[in-house]
Amino acid sequence: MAETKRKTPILEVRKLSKRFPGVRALHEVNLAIGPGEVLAVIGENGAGKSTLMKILAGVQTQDTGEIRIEGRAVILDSVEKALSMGVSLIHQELNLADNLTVGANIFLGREFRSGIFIDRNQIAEESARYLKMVGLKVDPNTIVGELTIGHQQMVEIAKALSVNSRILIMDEPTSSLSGNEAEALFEVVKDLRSKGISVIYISHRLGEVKELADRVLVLRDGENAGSLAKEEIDHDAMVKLMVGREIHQFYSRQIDEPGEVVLEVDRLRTPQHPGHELSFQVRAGEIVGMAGLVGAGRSELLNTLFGVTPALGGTIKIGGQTLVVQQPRDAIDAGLMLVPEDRKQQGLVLPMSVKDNLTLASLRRDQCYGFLNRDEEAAISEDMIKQMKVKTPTENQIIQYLSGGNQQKVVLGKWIAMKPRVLLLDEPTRGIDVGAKQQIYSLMEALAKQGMAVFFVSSEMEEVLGMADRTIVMHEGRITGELPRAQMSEESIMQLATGGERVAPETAFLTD
Amino acid sequence: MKKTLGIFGLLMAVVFITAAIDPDAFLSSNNIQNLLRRTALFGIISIGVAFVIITAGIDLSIGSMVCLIGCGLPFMLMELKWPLWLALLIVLMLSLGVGVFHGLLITKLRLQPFVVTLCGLLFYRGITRGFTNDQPMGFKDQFKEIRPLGTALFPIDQVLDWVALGGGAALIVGLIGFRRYLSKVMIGVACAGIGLCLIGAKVLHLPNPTIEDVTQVKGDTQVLLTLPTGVSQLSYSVLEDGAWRSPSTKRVVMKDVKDGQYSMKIFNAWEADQIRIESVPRLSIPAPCFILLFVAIAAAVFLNSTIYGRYLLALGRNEQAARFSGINTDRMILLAYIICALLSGLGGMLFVLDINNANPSSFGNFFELYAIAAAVLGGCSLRGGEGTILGVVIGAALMQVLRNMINLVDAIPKNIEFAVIGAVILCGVAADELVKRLASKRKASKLIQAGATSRPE
Repeated sequence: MAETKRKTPILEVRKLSKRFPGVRALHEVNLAIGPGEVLAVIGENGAGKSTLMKILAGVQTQDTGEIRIEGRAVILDSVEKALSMGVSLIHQELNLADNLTVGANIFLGREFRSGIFIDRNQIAEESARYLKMVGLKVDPNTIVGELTIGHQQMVEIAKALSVNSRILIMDEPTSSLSGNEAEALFEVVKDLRSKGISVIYISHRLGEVKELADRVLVLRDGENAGSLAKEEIDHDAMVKLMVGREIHQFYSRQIDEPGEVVLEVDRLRTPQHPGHELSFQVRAGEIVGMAGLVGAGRSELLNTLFGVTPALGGTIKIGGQTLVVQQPRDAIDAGLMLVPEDRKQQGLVLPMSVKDNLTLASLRRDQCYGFLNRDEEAAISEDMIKQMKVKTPTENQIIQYLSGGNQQKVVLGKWIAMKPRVLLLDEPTRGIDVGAKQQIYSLMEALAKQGMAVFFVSSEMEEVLGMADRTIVMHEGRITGELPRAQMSEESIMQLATGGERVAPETAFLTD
Repeated sequence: MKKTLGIFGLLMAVVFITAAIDPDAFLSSNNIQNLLRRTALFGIISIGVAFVIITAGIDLSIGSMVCLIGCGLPFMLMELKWPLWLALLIVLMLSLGVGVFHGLLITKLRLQPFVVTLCGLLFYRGITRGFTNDQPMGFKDQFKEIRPLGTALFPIDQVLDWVALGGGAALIVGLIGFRRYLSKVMIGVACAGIGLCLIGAKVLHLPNPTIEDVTQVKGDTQVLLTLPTGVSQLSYSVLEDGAWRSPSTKRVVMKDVKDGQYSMKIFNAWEADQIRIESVPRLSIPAPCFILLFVAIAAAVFLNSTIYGRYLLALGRNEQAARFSGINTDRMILLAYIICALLSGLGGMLFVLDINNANPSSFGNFFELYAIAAAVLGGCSLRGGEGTILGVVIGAALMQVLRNMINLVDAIPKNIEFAVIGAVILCGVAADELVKRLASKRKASKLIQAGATSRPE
């Protein structure tokens, strides 16, 4: 049956390319999907999945290449155009107006009217029909903000169905869903497939890909890395195509005997999860990973350690000295520094130069009575560009034009120039290309070798397994366990990340 | 830098157009002096608001602050008869207090700058109108010891001499102490500048007339003078009760000058040693210009050469990233509002010292908007993180020249002043945005062409 579907693709993409300043997002990508087919698109962060989907949904336009719907070449230069062609995108971050009702959201911009007034009854009736199709039992007059994330996602799908979408693009739909919610979503996807609706399903979670997909398309560095037919889909094959090499080649961690305890956290309570006390230690020369599902409270922990959201209780000790952090400056002065999760908002001042970003933190240390020390600034900038291998035309290049990897190296360089004792990294390789990733890994390793305590949070299982000497796992605000390298595996980590319940295939990172 | 050049070009264009339409009125020394004085006064408050705008904030209370200080100072001195030092101290504390108040509300209570300073706008004017009971405030003819801060005039040739002297001294210090920071070009430029100032001082210098003869005619005094070339105005003063009094300045009508001799009549009978007659210089620089110069240099050094200036520019663009880099952003924002309030206070004081008549219901009205417009024209973005002090001063000058043009050029009805100013600012800002967009597009395509992508292998 899959064969016949593929003969007449409803959507076909040929040699699609897209460049952004400093980044080649897509290069001659091909894709085809038949009616009633579920095509999973996978790839690492920064592989180009989101860009491809945005182009299909009319949010962005390609530089070169062709999109065909039912064999006819089309130009999708706006979201309305894409919708009229039957292509709907359901964003990772939901695009609903929380303050409006379910019905109002479904028919936003297409309200039924009587005269100049909105006909609420008809909206409610029609909405109910589509809500039934996705199996959501809520009153159309409920305010969307009162629904769970999972239900909100169903509303998004209902909205897409209401405009007669034939191709539904779902971008990481389960990233913030609980196990049961995800299960319900899978049922809806299967149901849609049986109704002849095509679904392009983007996910990191290989388990759900295996469960749902009729075919898998793998992207790597903006190019087609290969595709797998239903019977070929298995975990190792997918990882191999995504990473482009065997995992053990990619990570080359050699563990030395760790030194003294440098970071000691005792019964720390964060404002986001005040009910849980967190305690752990990191030693000099150690790389400790922290795993957990999205929303487990890992970033919140790092932000509390760094003084962004001061702790409600507990103690933090650096090298035996108790540290009171009210703001990041206090943490920095004690030698504890954070490479934040959101590089563009928290790590960098995008409209400033590479040099100004590299020296922003060290200005204060190097000042002469409040005045800038320009000699020292130039020296740090030159030194860090060389040491971090930042690819930039000059140190005066405005940093927003650099690629994600080079930007991340600048964030790291800013701290390395300050010689931290503890380096916290929040998703250190999110959205950067494979080459830069590897450089950041070897950098982390070099820093640990110099005796720094390195503590990183990552949602990429491969990264945690490859880099961490020890892994601490969090679930819903508490630490559920700690695994030494010898006991670290996808199953053992997942077990703890899901709160010690069964390792459900829908939660993530399934191994066979 | 390009932006500053652009705004400077616009300023020059407006100057040349106005000068071409009505050269006599526009280029008269009185008009130029007024322009310089107003530019200086508005420049000071514009620099203040520029600091706040750089942090992505806004201060709408400047006009009311000018009113509060401008009416408060004469009120304390003339009505309450407080000593001068106390009044000046209170002016300083009041300005500082307002800045701290605004800053704390914005950083600690997280109120929006627009709202906080809008309330300030209403509050300070209301307070002022209350304690003055809406009566105009002024110094009458008292407080001659501080009035010159606003009113004094310095002959251009003298100023050029000072500049040459100061520049020479700075150059010598530079050559002795900081030789390695000075390039040959810089030394050359400095020498040329000093030379030009000296030549300018010589050219612009007007010697005083010599009194040839003093006679009394029917109870008045007739003075026969020999005029040096180039003199067109004379000021005379008479010694009365042991003090020099200046009744007026007299314009020399050229047809009355015969063989370089001019006969001048002064009312009442005076002896020769009771009369002082001097040439009015070709141009005089008002005192506030020097205050602006000082403020602007200090502000530019602060913004560009101190870590705090860098912090302000960084947090204006991305407060979160600045905080994550260990900058105490709250303290820096507080500092910006303090600078703004202090400069508003200084401005208010200078305005009233100059004008000597402050009406609580109108004094300083719309000044905040002039200041914000000057800052925006001068290259500050209301999104924060951008701006140069030189640009802001040029922006302030442009605003004043525009107002002057509307007043002088008969073809423009005076009551549409605001419309013209609004249109010019809008054009300036729109042109800047278009140029910026074009430049970034070109930059992006250049980067793509250069293949500055970071692909592995």
